[in-house]
Amino acid sequence: MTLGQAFDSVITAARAGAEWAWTELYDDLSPLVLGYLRGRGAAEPEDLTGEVFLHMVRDVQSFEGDERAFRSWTLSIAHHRLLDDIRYRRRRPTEPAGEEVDRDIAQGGNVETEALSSLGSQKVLRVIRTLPPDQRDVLLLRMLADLTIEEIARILDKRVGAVKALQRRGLTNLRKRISRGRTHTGEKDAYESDD
Amino acid sequence: MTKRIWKPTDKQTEEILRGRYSGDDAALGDLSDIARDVKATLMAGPDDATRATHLVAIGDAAANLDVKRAPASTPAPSPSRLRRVKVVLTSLLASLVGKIALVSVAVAATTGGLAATGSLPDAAQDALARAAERVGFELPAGDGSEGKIGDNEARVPDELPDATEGSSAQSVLDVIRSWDDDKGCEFGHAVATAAGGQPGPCADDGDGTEGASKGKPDDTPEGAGKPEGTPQGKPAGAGEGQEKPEGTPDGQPEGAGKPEGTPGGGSNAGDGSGNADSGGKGSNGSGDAEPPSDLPVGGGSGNTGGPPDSVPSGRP
Repeated sequence: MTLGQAFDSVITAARAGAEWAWTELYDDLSPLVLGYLRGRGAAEPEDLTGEVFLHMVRDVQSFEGDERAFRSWTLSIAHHRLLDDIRYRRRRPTEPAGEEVDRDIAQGGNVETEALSSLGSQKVLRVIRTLPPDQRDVLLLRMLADLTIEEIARILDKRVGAVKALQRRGLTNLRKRISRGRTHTGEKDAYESDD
Repeated sequence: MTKRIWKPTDKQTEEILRGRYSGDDAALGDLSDIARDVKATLMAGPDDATRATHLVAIGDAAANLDVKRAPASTPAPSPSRLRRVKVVLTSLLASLVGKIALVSVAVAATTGGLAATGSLPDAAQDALARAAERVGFELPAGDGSEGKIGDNEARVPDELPDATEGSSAQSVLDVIRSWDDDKGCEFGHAVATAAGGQPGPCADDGDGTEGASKGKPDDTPEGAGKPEGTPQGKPAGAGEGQEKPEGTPDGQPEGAGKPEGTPGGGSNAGDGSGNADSGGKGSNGSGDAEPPSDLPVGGGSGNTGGPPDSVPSGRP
């Protein structure tokens, strides 16, 4: 899933406007961008993914760094583009589909049980979406992009300590939901969250 | 049931988030499964139609990419930037303040440059050099000599012309050359005696005749009568009584430059610090200070009479 040693030549060609280079970059990074936007509950994740890449084309001249830095830079654009989209949609009368899903999850009473009975794709996604947005950001970037705490802190414009705390609270919240489901199924849990 | 605070180690956290936890804890195992499933679920790429649409749009954008913006070299100022600078300058010059500021800067720069090279007329050069000396700069004096203005020893001729033979000039010159101390009243006495004259009493004698000549800075050699150790950069108002005889009461008690309780008069005058080396505190007006030996006390005004309560407000 990485370009490896070919990255330097690809990014150089991309800066020069070579279409093949952008195809390479798109195929390499679009699953990551789309996955992050989906997990974050974007209303139109595919459309946002396209906008993210157009933004990258416009600003690629200002990028400097290696492939890992490029991945982090891409996700930073995706994050800010998502925030812009959320703000834009809040000013519009129609509510985004992603938030509708989140609201349904919040109102539903058996999400955790469903998640435990079958850790299927959509149910796992629903569990993730029950987390607060900040915790969701950190866990998604850690799970999907395998970024370090420091890289995530730069993307989210937060301090490293704050990102660590968000990661811990996110995992604790996830675990609490699993524990509740386990309790529903008759299994006792010996842990207690410190939240 | 034992209650514990759940706090996974850093290693456990890394394994969970990568979906690779292999420990015995079932809850952590479930978390690890969730992480693995999240990654598998979300990382599915876009479908073919979406991909094709995106690639067309990206290709168009890349084809129109302005490769000249590459940061390979220093960008030349764009026309819009030049236009912006022009607008700023035009608006600045359009205001009266801007014009005045521009003229002031030009005059200051020109005068400073001429003063630095010693090209000004002697009087102006002397004045500027004196002013610069107070702030720590040395500029050529009016006669073209480098160094401090008060360095009068440089002007003493090495040899006298023949026409002065038999006169007292040689003895006066000897006195000047041999005088190592500061040139105060005693120096004047010695010169006057060598010249065959009758030296008048110093201000220490209490008649204030010494101070009578102090009001003429142009006639007084620079540095004469200045207390030893008085800093060049003395604050305004400090010791001004030496050079401003007008309106300054004389006959004041020694060291009573500013009567206590007199309003105003500057913060440095007459504060009683008595330290002539401490930043130019009023050497003339210090109440308790012991004045330098060659400094005329009593304000050096040269006036006679006048009680201390006649001091004008704000003037020591």
